[in-house]
Amino acid sequence: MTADVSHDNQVAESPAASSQSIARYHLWASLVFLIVGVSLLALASVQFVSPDLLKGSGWLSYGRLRPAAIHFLLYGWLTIGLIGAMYYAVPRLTGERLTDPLVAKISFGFLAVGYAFGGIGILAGSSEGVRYLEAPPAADLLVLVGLAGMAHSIARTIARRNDRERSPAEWFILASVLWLVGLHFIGNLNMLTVLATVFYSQPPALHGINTAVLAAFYRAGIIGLWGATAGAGIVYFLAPRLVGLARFKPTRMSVVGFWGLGIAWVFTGSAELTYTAVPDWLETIGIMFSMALLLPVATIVVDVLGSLKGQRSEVAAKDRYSLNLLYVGLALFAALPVLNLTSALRASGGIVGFTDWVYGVELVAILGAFSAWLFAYVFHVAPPMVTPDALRVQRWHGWLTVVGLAAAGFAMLIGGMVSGLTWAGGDAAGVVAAGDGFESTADAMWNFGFAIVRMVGLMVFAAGQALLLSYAATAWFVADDRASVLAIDPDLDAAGQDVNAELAVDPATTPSGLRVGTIALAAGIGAFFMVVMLPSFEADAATPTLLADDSRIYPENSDTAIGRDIYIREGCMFCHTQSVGPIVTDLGLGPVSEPGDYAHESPVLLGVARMGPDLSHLAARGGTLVDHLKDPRADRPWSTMPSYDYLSNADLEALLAYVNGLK
Amino acid sequence: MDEHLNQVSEETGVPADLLERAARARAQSQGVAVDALVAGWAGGEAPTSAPAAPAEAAPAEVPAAPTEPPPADVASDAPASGGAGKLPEALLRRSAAAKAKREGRPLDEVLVEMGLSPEGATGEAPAEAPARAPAPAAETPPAAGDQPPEEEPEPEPQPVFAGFPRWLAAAFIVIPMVALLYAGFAPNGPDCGTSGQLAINPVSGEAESCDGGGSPFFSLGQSVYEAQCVSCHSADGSGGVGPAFTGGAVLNTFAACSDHVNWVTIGSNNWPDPTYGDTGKPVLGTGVAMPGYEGNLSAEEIASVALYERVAFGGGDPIEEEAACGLGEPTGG
Repeated sequence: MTADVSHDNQVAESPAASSQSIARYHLWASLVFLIVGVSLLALASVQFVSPDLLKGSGWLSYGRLRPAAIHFLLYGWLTIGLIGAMYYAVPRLTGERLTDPLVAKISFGFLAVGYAFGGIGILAGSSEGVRYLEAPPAADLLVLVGLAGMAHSIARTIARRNDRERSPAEWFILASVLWLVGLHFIGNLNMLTVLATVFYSQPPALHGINTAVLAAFYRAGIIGLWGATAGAGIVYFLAPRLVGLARFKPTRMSVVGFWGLGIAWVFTGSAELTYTAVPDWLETIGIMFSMALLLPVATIVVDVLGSLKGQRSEVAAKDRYSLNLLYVGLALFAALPVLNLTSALRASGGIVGFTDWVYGVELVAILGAFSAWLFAYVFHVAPPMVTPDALRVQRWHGWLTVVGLAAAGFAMLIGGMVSGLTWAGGDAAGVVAAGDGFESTADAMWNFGFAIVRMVGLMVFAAGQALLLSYAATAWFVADDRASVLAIDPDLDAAGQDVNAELAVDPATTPSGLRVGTIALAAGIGAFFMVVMLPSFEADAATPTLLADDSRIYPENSDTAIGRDIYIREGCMFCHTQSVGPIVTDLGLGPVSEPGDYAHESPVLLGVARMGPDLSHLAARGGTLVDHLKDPRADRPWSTMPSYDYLSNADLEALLAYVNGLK
Repeated sequence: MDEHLNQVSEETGVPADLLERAARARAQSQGVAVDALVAGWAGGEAPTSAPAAPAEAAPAEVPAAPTEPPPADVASDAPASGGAGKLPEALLRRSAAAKAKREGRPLDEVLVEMGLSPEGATGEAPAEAPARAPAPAAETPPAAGDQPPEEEPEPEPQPVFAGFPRWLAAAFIVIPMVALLYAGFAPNGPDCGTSGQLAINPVSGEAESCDGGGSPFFSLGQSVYEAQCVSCHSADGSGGVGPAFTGGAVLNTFAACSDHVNWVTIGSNNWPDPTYGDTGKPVLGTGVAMPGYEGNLSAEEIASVALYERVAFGGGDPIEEEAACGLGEPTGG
C-alpha cells in the first residue's frame, strides 16, 4: 500500500527522475565500500612484505583482511554499484518510471546494511569459510530481502512494456538481477538453517565434497551470471549514450553473446576443482566450458566495438574519459576467459592452480573489467566538470588505476606462475610443496619482489580511487557553478536532443525481452542445479572413506571441532589447502585425496591457494607446534604466516589438534 | 533542412528525429554536409525511385555460406543496403511493416506505396547471384491480402553468422570442436579412485598413476591393509598405536621387502631378536605388540600388504617392490 501512495505522488515525474535519488544512494554507498575494500586489500598485501607489521590484532589478521576486502569489493562496491547503475539505466532504457521506488529504497537499506554487516562479521571472526560466501547467515538473510526487493523493482519496470524493441542492455540487466537472486539463494542455502533450527532440531545441510562443488559454481556464477552479465548490461546502456545515440539495436551478435554468457560461464565453475577430489568428468565439463566461454565474451566485445566504430567523434568532452574507461574494461573483459582457460586446462592449471594466479584472475575481473565499467558510469553521471582541473583529476585517476592494476595483476599472475613452476620442477630436489621445502616457493615468490610490486600496485590503485571519491564529491557538492551545471540534463545529448526519444519500433520482429529473460533464468538456474546435484549421485562423493571415518570426523565440542572452527574463523584456507592431487606438484604430500575423504565435513576446506604448504597429512610430515603459530619466523625466517599470538592458549591448542590431526 | 526532413518523414513514415540522426551519421561517415544529404533524400532520389518490378523478383534469399564476407560496419542501424544518399532499405521496410500493422493493411500494399518492391522480392538484384540457391516453393510470397498481417513471414532470413567478423564465425566452429576433442581424447588425471600414493614415472617425471601401477597385488594388499592394519597404522599410513609408514619410514626400517614380510608374518611376540629392521628398533618399543599374521593371512596376502605399504606410503617403485616382495609375474619356469 505504501508503495502505491508514493507511486501516486510521483505521477508527474519523468522516468529518469523516478530513480534519480535511488541511483544516487547506491552510487555513494558503493564508493564508500570501494574505498574501504581497496584499503583493506592493500593492507592485506603488506602481509607478504612485512608479516609482523599487523601483529597482535585479530581484526587485521591476513586471513580475515583478505576475505573482508574482497567481500566489500565484490558485494559492497561492485554489486551495489551495478545495481545503482541499473536503477539509473532502466527508466531511461524503457521510458517507464521505476516500479515501486519505495521498495527499491528499502531494499537499498537492506543491501547496504547486509553487505556492511557481512564484511564486518568476517573481520570480527564470524566467517563461514567458503570463499565469496563468508558472510554470516544473518547478513545473508538481510541481503536476500534486499535483493528480492531490488529485483522486483527492476524486473517489473523492464517487464512493464512489451510493445517495443528492447535494447540488449535490458536483456542483460533483467537476466542478471534474476540470476543474482537465484545465485544468492542457492549459494547461501545455509542461511536457511537460521530459520530451520527454529522448526527442526537437525538443520538440513549439504555435506562433503558437494559443498565444494556448489561453492565453485557459485563463484563462477557471481562473476559470470552477475558481474559479467550486469556489467555487459551497463556497457550496452552506456556505450551508445557516450557517443550520443539513444541505444544500440539488438544485433545477432548481442543475442549470441547474451545467451552464450548465460550458458557458458556458470559451467566453468568446476574447472576450479581440477586435480582435487571431484570426478574427472566434472572437471572436464568445466574445462570444456572454459574454452567455450571465449566465444560469447569475444562476441560481446566485438559487437560493442563494432557498434561504436565510426562514432567516436560524436563523444562529448565530458564523456571522453568514460569512453576510455569503457574500452579498458572491454580489454580486460576479453582477457578474462583467456586467464580462466589457463587455470582450467589440466596442463597449465596443474602449474598455476592453487597459486597467486587464482587471486590475480579474481583481481582482473573484480577490480579490472567490471570496476572499469562502473568507473565509466560514475564519470558519466557525475555533473559534468570540464574545467582543466577536473580533466587533470580524470587523467590521474586513469593512470593510477591502470598502472596500479597492471602492477598488482602482473605480480599476482606471473608470481603465481613462478611458484607453480617451482613446485612442478621441485620433484628432483625433494618435496618443495610442503614443510621446510616450501622455502623455495617463498624464495621464488617473494625474493623476486613480486610481493612488493603487488603491494605498491594495490596502494597506487587505492590512491586512484581516493581521487575518484574526491572527484565525485566535488562534482556533486562543491563545484562552483553547481546550479548551472545541474541544469544540464544528462539525458540530452550534445545537440540538445532527448536521447530517450523512441526509435522506430517494429514489434513484429522483436522477441519479448521478458520471455528471453525468463527462459534464460530458467535455463541457467536449472542447469546450475543439475550440475551441482549430479555429483551427489556418484557414490564416491557421499560415501565416507576409511580416512574420513578414521580422522576427518569432528564430533561437536571435540578439540578438533573447535580447532576447525578457529581454522575457518581465521581464514587459514586462503593460504593453506587440504587437497592432494594426482599431480607432480603434490608429490610427497601423502595419499591422493578422494571425494569420500571429506564426507563428514561442511563446508569442505579444500583451500584456495598455497601461500603456505598444503596441510593434509601434516602429522606425517612432522606436524606443527604452538611456537610456530605464535612466532612463525622464529623457526622459519622465510615464513609469511601471520603471528597468531592474539589467540588464547586454549584456542592455539585446539587449532594445533585440528591441523596436526588432518589426514 | 527541417522542411526536407519533414517531407521525407511524411513520404516514408519514418520519424523525423530518427531521420535526422541517420542523416547526421551518414553525412559524417561520408564526409558530406548534412543539409545536402537531406536535400538529396527529399529530392526523391531514394524513396520515390521506381520500385523493382515484381516480375524481376530475385529468388528469396536463403542463408548464404558463412564464409561470405560480413559487412565491416556492424553499427547500430540495420546494415545499409543502398548507396550514398539513400535511406537504408531495411529501415524503410521495418517502418512499412509497422505502418501496415498499425493501419491493418497488407504489407505489400504499404511497401508499394512507399516505393519499395513487395515483400519477397528484394529491392536490389543480388550481387552474388551464383552463390544463392533457388528458393523452395513454400517460401514464395503469398498474394497480397491473402494473409492477415500477423502472419507476415519474418523479414529477410540472414546467414547464420551475419554481422560476425570472419575470424569470430570460424572460432564458433573451431572452439566447440576443440572442446569436444579435448573431452574425448585429452588424458584425465590419473585415476585415484582408491586411497593411493602418487606414482611418478621415473623417466618422464610425470605423474602417472596413484594406485601403484594397477598391480592386482597392490589392490589385494590395499584391501588386506584396510581390513587388518588401519586400526593401528591409520588409513593413510601416518601411524597411530603402531609406527608410521610415511615420510620414508617404512623403507628405512625394511630396506629389503623380505625383512618386511618376515616381520608381518612372525610378529613381535615370537620375534627371535631384541630388535628388528635395519634401524635396530626395539621389538616392543611402542609398548604395543605387533601381531604375527601367519595362519591368518596367506603368504601372498602378507607379501601384498607389504607391497602396498611400501608403495602407497613409502613411495617405493611399484615394479621393483613387486619383484622384491616375491610377487611379480610367474617366470614360466
